[in-house]
Amino acid sequence: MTKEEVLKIAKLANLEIQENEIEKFSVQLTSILAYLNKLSEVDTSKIDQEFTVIKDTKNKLQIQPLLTQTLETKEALKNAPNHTDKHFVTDAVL
Amino acid sequence: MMTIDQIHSDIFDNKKTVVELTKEYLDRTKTLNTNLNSFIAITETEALSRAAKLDEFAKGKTKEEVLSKMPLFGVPMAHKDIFSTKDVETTAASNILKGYVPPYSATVVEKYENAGAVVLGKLNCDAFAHGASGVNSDFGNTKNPYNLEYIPGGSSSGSGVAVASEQVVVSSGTDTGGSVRNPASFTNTVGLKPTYGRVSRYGIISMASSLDTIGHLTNTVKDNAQILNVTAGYDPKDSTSSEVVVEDYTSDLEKGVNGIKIGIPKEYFTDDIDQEVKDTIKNAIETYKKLGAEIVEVSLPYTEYALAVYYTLTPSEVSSNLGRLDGIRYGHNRNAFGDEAKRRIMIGTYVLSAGYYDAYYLKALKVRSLIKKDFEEVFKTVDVLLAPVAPCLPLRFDEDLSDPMKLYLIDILSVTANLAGIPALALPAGFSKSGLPIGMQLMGNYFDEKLLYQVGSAIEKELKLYERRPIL
Repeated sequence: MTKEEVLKIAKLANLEIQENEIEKFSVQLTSILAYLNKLSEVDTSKIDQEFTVIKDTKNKLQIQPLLTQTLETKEALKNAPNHTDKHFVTDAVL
Repeated sequence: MMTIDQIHSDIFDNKKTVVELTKEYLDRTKTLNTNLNSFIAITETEALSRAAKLDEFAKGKTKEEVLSKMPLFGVPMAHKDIFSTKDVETTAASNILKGYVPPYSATVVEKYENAGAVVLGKLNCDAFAHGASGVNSDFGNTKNPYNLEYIPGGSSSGSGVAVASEQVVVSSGTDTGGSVRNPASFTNTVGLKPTYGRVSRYGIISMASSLDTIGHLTNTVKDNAQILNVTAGYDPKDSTSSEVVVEDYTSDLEKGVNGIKIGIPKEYFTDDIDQEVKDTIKNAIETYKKLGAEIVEVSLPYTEYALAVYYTLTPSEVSSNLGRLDGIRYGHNRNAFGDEAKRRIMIGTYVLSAGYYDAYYLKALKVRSLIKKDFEEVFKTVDVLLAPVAPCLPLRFDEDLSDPMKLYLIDILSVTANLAGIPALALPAGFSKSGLPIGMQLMGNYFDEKLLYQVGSAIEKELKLYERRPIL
């Protein structure tokens, strides 16, 4: 992974990488990706994707009406660094 | 060393109060934690308050009356610090969540509480469960109680250590690629990775959602089975939790292994595996033969690709799950992530990105299905599989541990069970010449935990490795 790629990926991942860390991450990520390339040895041409390890899938999409427990607004806000008494406060994006 | 049954004798037959018992375990925990660093936080006030309430509950009731309602009555335990505990700081062993106090508890935390367990604190781990060593915590290394110069394994590092050193009788953990079995193997304890979906994941900080399982560590097989009786079960708050009926996991512990077919997968005994580890497992195989089991050599051909699949899928799911740490609703700035978290987020982002998605992520999903098929095939001919947990002995802290790939390779034999979703039980197999624990794992078919406990119990009775306590 080149320096440019590291910075591009870091931006996509919303991570700040310091100038003096780019080299280190570049080396480490390159080595990991090289290992992952092993997968290209496997013939998967006849396989459908397998997205789940769940054996029994009935009722999985049923929306349960049981959710009687809700979080009080005050509780939900208590770990937020910036909030009003009803809202999380964040930077404007528009 | 006390088992759950012995704790109950101490309380009901010896007339010890839960408060007295809790004080004993708290004292031991505080004293040993200085050297072991297994606990991030010791919640003394909460523990004693809970103990007092339990003593009040038991007043005027018989032992049977109490235990039928609270099968873990008075049992000292602790939670890996990725389990949300209401009103108790939960950090995931990462600076990014320092000061985070969950407004709710995980389903499993509530289950332990309703069963009468007393929580002594939150256990150290690799941050966000990223690791198999115990060196990725932002709150210092946890040490192996059998030799403080060696790693205790991970990511549930504090969990293994706290049980092995008897700071607690039970600890909770998670196993996504081996994170319960690995520390169990390195600390001479018993650790369960349940079938995916057997135990609710609700309220436990997610690492890789299609791989995470909620397990626990104990000193004995029976204790371990007793815990699963409490934690297993459908939870509507976890859409991946299973409705398969919860059995009594202790019912077959005395059945022995006559006629049981134990498969030995040859891909788990290659030249890359440490010779002492292989010899110790071979000794376990001989013991099982002696006890009446039938030993069958089997093959799981796609094993060699499992680690590459795991380290493609896991970072992908991690990068997605850690996206919620945006510092808006909770947590600090994303700069507070440690290096390992950053690496995994970046690998995940890369393999999911346009142009790479097909070659990496999609490819890994397909190979995952081949690994799963390997297991489904093999369980048509054998009942359980026996293999090492780790390819090596615990590493030394003063070794060079800076290469991430070197640490990833420790997972090479444990990720397969997570990729397939099958259960696996790690238990003591022996010790190295240098006195370090060596564990083994029994892998079973989906929802076959009862059989794993039956087979594990048989060798535990024979080897009695729980008698070899660390010298602390």
